[in-house]
Amino acid sequence: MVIDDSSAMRLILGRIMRGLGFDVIEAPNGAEAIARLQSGAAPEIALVDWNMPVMDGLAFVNAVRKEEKWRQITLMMVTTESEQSQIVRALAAGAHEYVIKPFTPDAIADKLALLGVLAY
Amino acid sequence: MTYIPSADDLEVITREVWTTFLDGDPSGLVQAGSADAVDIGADAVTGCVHLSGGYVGSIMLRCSASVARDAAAALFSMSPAEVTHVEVVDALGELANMVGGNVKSMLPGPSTLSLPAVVQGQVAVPGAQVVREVALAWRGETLLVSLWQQAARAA
Amino acid sequence: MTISASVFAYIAEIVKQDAAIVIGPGKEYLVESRLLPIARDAGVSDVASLAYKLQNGGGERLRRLVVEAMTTNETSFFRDRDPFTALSSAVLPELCRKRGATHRINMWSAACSTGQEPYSIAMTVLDHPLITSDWQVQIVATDINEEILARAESGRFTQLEVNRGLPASLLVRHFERSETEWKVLSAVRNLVRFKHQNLNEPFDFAFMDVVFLRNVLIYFDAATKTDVLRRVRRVMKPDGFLFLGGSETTIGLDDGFERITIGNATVYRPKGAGPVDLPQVPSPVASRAMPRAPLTQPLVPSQIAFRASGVAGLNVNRSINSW
Repeated sequence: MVIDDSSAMRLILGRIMRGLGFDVIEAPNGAEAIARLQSGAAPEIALVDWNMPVMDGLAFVNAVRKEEKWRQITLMMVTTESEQSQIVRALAAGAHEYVIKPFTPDAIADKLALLGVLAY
Repeated sequence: MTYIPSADDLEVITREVWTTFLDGDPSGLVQAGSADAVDIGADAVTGCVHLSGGYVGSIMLRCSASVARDAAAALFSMSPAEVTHVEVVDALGELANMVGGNVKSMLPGPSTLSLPAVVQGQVAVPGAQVVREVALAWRGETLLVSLWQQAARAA
Repeated sequence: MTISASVFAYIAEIVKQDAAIVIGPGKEYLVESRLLPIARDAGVSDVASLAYKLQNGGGERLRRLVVEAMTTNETSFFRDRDPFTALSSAVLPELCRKRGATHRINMWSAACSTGQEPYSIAMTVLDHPLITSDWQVQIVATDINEEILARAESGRFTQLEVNRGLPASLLVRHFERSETEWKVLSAVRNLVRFKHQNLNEPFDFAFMDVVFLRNVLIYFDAATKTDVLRRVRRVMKPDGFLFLGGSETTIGLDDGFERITIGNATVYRPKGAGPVDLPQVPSPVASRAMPRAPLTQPLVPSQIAFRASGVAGLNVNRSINSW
């Protein structure tokens, strides 16, 4: 699942993920992503932007981590927020990995491999 | 002492964004002389994000409508002829967001980044002034990147 | 649009022929992203047309550009992951047992390029629970290119570079923001000594416990490979460990080494080095089922407070200050 308010970014990330063999669903903010999960979507991994309208990425991570039934979802922030303190906040909230924009396709693939959702 | 990113820093960050998502070629975006001398023209488009917190101000990308269309086309992998207003707003907003977020991490924090806004013409922020500005040439046209600071917080 | 299977197979084949580097399945995006700029420079619109051009007398220069684009800039932190897992899970524990008298471990990162490898080793050492502050660990990092070596020595990496292979938890623990870049903290930096070295010339260091000589033999002919391996073996301790790149081996080149496997990693040791206590390394299948336990045991969020408070017995104070 690719969650980003920019449709350009959803397109770019979606293309990378499809290239890596994933099926991709998209959401333009955290609230719609939660709605997709509630209606049964069960993504292996969510790529989450931070700054989004309605519900931001950090709030989304917090919301997902509160629910036992969503434990299996690997959460990776993909955001332009790049202060160390922000990265620490996101990891503490329950994000498994963090990619800073701008990123290359290789960077996404590397991180997915680190997380074990993609073979090396 | 507060470190304010230099014009070179703005250039490096913008180039990193442009190279990664638009060009694949670091030589595609180069410094274009004094920012003061630049006249974007009547059809300027501005992408803007605001910062509040440890630093109060804005980061803006300003360019002509045709540059904005080309940038959107490159970001969406479309031909410029297919690009509509919707793609331009999305692309310029996301580009401003990426440049803004990376500039923010060099400024005194913690600060919050606003959602991007994209407007036709030039943005004037009341009580704020440009503290850094750089003119960059991309595909023969000019892109202005500026960092603004709210006057009340200016050193 | 990703490229077709036949285009991918063709590109993979010429890269294998020319550079002996295997591009595994699932790397279509890599071929696409690396070759699109070359396709455009060559006056065609996409990678499929570029492949067609190569197949129909595109010329040697174009082919070389393609192979270079597919093989260079592959450097990332913790590249290939498995060697670092082996280092952490078996090699360092073994050395801690055997070097108890001297409390000294020497490592060599050969052809270190811009420094991702020696700093990855240094982070692995710093975060290792058995390597307490009374151990002296030195990593010699060498490269033939002075300019690249100077960059490595500066310890500065761009945003794009730290996005490659470096777990976010290690980024925030071992790096600090420095203008537009990230800089390794001195605790990491101080473990590494950078040095100019042409691998074809004599080495003026010795007694290496661990050598990383990865993805450099591929550029040499067989005679040079044999010569380099022999001389590397002579500067290793008799019970040392040698890591090579994924497509490299000592077999058929220098029979003074024997090959062992630690988890998914292949490691070479001087013959007669004796057995190693192998850890319980999960099989590849099992490790896929446990996605949250990657290589250097990067912190899962719930452990951050735990480690930051020093309870784990790690010498982490230096890096915590920068949080």
